[in-house]
Amino acid sequence: MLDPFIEEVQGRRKRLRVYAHGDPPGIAEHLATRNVTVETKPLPAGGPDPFVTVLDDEEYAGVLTLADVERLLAPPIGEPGDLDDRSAAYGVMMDLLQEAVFTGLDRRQLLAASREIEDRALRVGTGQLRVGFQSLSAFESQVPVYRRLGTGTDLEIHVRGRPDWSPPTIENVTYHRDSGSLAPFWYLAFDGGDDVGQSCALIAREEADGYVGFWTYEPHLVGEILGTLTSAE
Amino acid sequence: MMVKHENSLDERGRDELSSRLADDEFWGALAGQPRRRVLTYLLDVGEAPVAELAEVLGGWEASEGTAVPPERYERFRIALVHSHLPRLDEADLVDYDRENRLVAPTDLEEPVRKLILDSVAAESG
Repeated sequence: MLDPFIEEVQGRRKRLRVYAHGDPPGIAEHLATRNVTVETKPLPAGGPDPFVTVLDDEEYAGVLTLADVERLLAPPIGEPGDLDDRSAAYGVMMDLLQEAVFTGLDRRQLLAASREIEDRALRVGTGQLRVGFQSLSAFESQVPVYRRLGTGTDLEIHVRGRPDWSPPTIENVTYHRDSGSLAPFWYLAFDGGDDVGQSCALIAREEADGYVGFWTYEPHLVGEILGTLTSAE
Repeated sequence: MMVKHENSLDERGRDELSSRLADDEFWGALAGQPRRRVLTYLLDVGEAPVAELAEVLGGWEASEGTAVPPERYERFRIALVHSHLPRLDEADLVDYDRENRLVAPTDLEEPVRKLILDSVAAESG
């Protein structure tokens, strides 16, 4: 059901131009994606620290240090609401790498990206947040996070999954049993509350060698994803 | 084609160095971190398009912890085209091919190369 979104985003071309000394170990392999071209260029000894220019459809979108990009591979995971320097750099990286369709993502990487969305929902404090962790038992480890998100906020949270576990009651959280149509998908979608500019979403499909997916901050796309998720209820 | 040995210049090289060092244009062209950074990059890679120099200036700012959005990149590019490269070209530090938007370093005397490279190395303390 969410496949069309993955397919559509795959058509958006992103280019990463890596300026580094020599061949940075496995950067192209680690950044395994379906729609991103990775090229490397030499960097002089006296030059800046290794960095990566990001281009969307060949237009300059921004730049990251290589260290920031490598953080994607070993992401920090914190509670929503932890806004330290590390998280700020991670946020910049999330922004520039949105709509790159990553392959081979693992749960830890998905959790880190999910945290950015949950963090945004917590900071906005109002609006609709729809999440699916495939099975309700997978949601068990996230209960403390969602207690924090739901308690005392004006968020409307919908959690969906295979009913293989009985989740606790949490203020502002509604549980939905998934019949199977969304079973392969790990997703989050937040409508931004009063500010559509705060909307964001992540969709990932589980495959044999990891998850294939992307995240986006593009309001129109997030709106379409939310529409599809709402109509599935 | 003369061969310049490190730290030793022949008579013609010494003359060129002297006239360069006596020229305010030279010192004025080196005043400005972006210009010294651009020269350092060019001295290593040889020739580069203007767009690449703008990216490299962005990379420098990124390593200083500053986010570099597209607007900033565009300002680098404009500053290169309208300020830095003409100035460096005037001072005979680069050859700026405006039509093809390509930049190459000129054949700089060794003490001048060293000065430029040292100045950028000094940035990181």
